[in-house]
Amino acid sequence: MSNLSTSAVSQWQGVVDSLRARHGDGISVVLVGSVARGRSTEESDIDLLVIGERRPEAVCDLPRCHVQVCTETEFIRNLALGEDFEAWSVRFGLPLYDGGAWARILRSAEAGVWPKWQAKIPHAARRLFMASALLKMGDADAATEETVYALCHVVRALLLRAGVFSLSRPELAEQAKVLGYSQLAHLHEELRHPGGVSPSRIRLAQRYSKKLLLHLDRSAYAKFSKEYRERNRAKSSRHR
Amino acid sequence: MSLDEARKLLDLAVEQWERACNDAWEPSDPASCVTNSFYAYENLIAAVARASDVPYQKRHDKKAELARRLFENKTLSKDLHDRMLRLNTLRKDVSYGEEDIELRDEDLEAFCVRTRDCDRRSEVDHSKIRRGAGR
Repeated sequence: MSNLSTSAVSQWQGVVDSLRARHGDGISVVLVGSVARGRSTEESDIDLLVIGERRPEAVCDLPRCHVQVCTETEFIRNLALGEDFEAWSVRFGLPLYDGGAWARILRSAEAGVWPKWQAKIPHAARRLFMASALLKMGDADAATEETVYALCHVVRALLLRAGVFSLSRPELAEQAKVLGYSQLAHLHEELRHPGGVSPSRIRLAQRYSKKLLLHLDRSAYAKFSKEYRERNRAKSSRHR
Repeated sequence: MSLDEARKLLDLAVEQWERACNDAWEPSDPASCVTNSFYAYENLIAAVARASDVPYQKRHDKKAELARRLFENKTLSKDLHDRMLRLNTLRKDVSYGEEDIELRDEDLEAFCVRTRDCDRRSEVDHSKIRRGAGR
């Protein structure tokens, strides 16, 4: 795990001070995502992870700052379950302040658990169905964004299955290319950058995502798809 | 034409709000509910901006800032800035698959009621947009 330089820590001091004033010294604040990797772009958000004894209601006054909150217990439980966000944070997160929880997490046996690529299948499928619905109703911008989320989950699943740890979002295309999925890398980059993507390109990305999900785990995709359709059918009949 | 575009955006917002309501009803689908609510708000703000000939950027934080400006200049009767940012956070959580963590504390019905109230407030604007687009 990397450490932040003194100047970088001081850059975040105001945010940390404000969070400590609100939630006490027992919290831990960790910088995650592309900013932590030094690969942020103009479109990147600042992602902070705040861990407390109880789940803090963290608010960050910085623009474009996304705060993920959880308790130490929840974090370790998710590590054990093979969730990749927690595993990513342990490997690449940069602690801005540690009230003790972060050090305990890093020392835990769960910190070494390899994330389960299978967990990405329902996440990807869910985004894909949402993207498809948005495209059908004519919201191309929202459909593009949801498709990018689906593509990200697919890339991460492919990488994890191949024994490669996925990096931050701006680095995923390069990783997909190295793994041999150059079209996936191209679509991911095309949709990720703003500037109006045509509906046909969005549909292509959705079809390819579905194909890859079936390739990864046909039965898991089919199970999620069936549950999704049944839930929607039940709702439609109830509210008809 | 701005009014045509505004009308399309408003229609999208209405459809997304209807989906969010459906998502909130049992059996609820919190992840889908917050996502649809978020896009409904964004399209609502974009519609008002289009109808008022106010330029806007597609970035989420900029749309939230625009919502505040539209409230401050009395185009909108309510400041939707904080709500849009909150929904964006929740939407990001569910997009990354973290839906169980934050959504436990959210009242989905309240989300939909607030979106509906917002939509009702926009009905006057909506009819103006429709009349204007028909000219």
